[in-house]
Amino acid sequence: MSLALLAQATANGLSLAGLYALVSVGLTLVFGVMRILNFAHGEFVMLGAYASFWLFTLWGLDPLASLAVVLVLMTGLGALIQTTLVKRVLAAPHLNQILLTFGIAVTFQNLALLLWTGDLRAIKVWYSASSLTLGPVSLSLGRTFGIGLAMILTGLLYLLLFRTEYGRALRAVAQDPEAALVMGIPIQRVYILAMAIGAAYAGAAGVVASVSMFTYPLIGFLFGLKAFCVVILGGLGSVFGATVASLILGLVESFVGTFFAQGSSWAEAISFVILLLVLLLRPKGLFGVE
Amino acid sequence: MRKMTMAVGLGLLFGSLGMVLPVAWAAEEEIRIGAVWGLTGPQAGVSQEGRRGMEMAQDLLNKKGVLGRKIRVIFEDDKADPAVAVSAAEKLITQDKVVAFVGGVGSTICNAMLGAFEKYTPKPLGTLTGCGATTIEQRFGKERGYFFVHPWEYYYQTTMRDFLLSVTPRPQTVFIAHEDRLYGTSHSKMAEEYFKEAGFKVVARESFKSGAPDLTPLLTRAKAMNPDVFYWIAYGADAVLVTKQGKELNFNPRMYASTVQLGTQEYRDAVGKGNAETFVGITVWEPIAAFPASKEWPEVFPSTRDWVRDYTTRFKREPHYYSIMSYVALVATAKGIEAAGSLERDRVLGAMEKINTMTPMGPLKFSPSKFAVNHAFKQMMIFQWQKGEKVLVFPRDVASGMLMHPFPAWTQR
Amino acid sequence: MPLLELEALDVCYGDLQVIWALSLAVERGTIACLLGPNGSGKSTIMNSITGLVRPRAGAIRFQGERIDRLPTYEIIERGIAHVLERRRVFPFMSVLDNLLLGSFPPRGKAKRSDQLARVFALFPVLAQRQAQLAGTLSGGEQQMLAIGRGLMARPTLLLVDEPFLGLAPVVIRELLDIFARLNREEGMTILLVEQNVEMALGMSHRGFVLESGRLVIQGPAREVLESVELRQVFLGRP
Repeated sequence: MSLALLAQATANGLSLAGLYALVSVGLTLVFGVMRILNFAHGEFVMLGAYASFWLFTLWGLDPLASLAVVLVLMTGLGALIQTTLVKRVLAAPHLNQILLTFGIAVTFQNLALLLWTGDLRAIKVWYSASSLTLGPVSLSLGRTFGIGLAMILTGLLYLLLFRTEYGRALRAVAQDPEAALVMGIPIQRVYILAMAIGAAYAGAAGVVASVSMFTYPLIGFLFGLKAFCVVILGGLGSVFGATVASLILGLVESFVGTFFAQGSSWAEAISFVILLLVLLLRPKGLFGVE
Repeated sequence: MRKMTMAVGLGLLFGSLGMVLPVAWAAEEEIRIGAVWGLTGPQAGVSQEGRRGMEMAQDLLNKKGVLGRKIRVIFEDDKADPAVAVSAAEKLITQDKVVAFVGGVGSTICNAMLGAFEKYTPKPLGTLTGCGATTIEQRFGKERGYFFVHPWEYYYQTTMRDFLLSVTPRPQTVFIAHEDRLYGTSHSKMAEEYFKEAGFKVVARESFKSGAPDLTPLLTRAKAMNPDVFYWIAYGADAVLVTKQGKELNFNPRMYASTVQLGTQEYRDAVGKGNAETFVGITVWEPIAAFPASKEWPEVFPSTRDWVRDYTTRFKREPHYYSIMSYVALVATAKGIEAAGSLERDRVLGAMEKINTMTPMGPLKFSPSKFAVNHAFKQMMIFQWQKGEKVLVFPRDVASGMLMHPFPAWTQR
Repeated sequence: MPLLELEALDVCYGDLQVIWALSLAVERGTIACLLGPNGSGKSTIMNSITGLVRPRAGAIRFQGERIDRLPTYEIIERGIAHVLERRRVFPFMSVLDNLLLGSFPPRGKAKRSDQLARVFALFPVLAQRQAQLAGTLSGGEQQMLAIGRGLMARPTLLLVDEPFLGLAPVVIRELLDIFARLNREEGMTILLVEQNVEMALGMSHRGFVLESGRLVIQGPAREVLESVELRQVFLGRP
């Protein structure tokens, strides 16, 4: 195991972790605040990726620029879904909530298929498959952009949560919605905020995916599943936990894949084993509180 | 006045009956063909190519009709999931009462579907495009009613081996990566065996999950072993990732080689012309092949050039080999039915066994392979992406250009 | 005009009616208490005032205006603070964050530092423990935090649900003193739910006694305390 290989594996793992974090912080936030598992979360990634793809293909908008547009669009979509659909099932049994979000997911998948066919789509910009060479380590620009974006957006989320009035309100709602209500917090607005952030962050992950990978109508499942693993490992509702769990899974998958024969085939299974072990020892996840 | 009204009324009545009756009749009498494709999901690219080929064949056949009836292909989406494929196939047999199955993609799917067919007597007829695994040939090849038009995997790997042997300077080491289900696993085993026999050093044979969002660990591992050839056997989405991430990691084997999934326009568009440059893939057929028109049925089997022109005009894109394979499969099935003069299974398969004609895909004649009774199209080719186009580089007698070798380092492109 | 007025209130949980045609009024600047056995509907009334439960019929007026159709945050903004039963502090937040949340409504935010100083003056222990997680406070301290948090919104009316539950006598005396001071020094109106009849009536100007969702006694605290009906409600005998 050479040092160069170790460095490269770490870089690969970090960029994967960045993508995981972008997808999962939103999911865990939505769960923390509303106690709803959003099965359509992965579809936000898919829609973000398509938005970025079409903005680029039709109007030549660079993904770095379209990121802003996608964030706005996805914020709007998240708010819309919250006010028109999710709001109605907040007090309903969990099964209804699951059916609703699952239904939203399937609807988006089929809509994407209908509108944009099943073809793989990817954006080709000068930095989409280019890399920065640091000694023996190659850092993909697209994926580094992903890490940077994940750090910035996660950082902003922390600032929001711990430095702003609304962020404090959001944490309060997560801990005790009724007590938050009598603090005079407009709880429905907090729900909208959480869903909007969730959708926007997943959409940002989609932009990264459209540049450094590709997208197709069912790609949301891939990200959704991973995000659920991350969120459960980190502790449902814990943004910090999701960040740490993203790092753990990203690095573990990269190291297993790089240093073990057949590792790429096993990496995912090993992630699940870690998840199971943690859940056995700590049923509420690494940083879960309930 | 009253008489006139009545006449008009009767006229309208008969007129409307006259319009309705033949349509209803035709619906009852249409010849139904079942087509199970992975229209969405990881196999969507190739499946859509196959679907287009079948649609083109269907429309052309229906200009004249088959036994005076229309062919209707009923498409089902298996989402690349064997369980979904089996239930779709059973629906086609029991509800739609299809005469035959045509098309399909993926050995995992094919294996599951043919397995499910075992419980029917007689087994459904099939002109199968998606079955290339030798395990399928061994398990189901003896069935006369299955007409396999996809080359068996050993044809791929012997072709790839012969190609690598022909390359100068000859590569010494090969890293084989494969997706970890039936298709990738069985192909890669065979590749390893043939490559070793031919004196190549297989430095590793590694599996990975198809559709994973990240192949950098595998590529980093391969890069550390510095092989002459990086040969991977997987699906379209994986090919896009290998190309993009191989470039990002500055992984420079002397040759990037893969199998058929590398040949789609979808792949080229997803990675870009420049990035696909010099990547090598296996193909059953390419539009640049030059086969003449059929003597027997020139209206459905024109020359390759004419067929490609018709296809491109209609779909505004280049045909993939799955397009023509599924086209030929459907036409062959229809011609079998026509020659048999009925839909009776044994007569149809008897007639199909007698087919011997040229097609835009090459000569079509079903003959035994290693284990199967009825198999067609045994010749394979190697292509290389050059300036956004596929160039046939092997075998030499069908080659349309020279191989560019070795692969120029990413940084020198 | 009373500060708070409930008129012919019916409240149901699903098909189960728990409050029946209840009317009561709390005058500005007074302390009033709601008494009654377990399950008589005291907390339900408090919860309908702040909109946590919506009445099926009747009206709730605050400063003469209907508030029973307003969202909770608007009710709070008008000047009602609600200290919930069992304190309900946010356990994984600091004491300071809890207090600052109390001044989330604009009316509190405008005078945040003044209010904070006032709360710390009333409860010096909260000042010492500002950075501590609220969940790690003792029961008495948590109750002080819950009350302090309510005060951060500068309420005109303070609703307090069972503040003395499970507290040591010394803490109870301290809280009694605080309520008296708030009423005396700031003219704050307080509506209190309490199980301990004598203590509650002892600190209140007026008392309301509930039985099975109906108001059975009301009047000046001393009269209620001495009434025969009170004994019937609580002891089931004359």
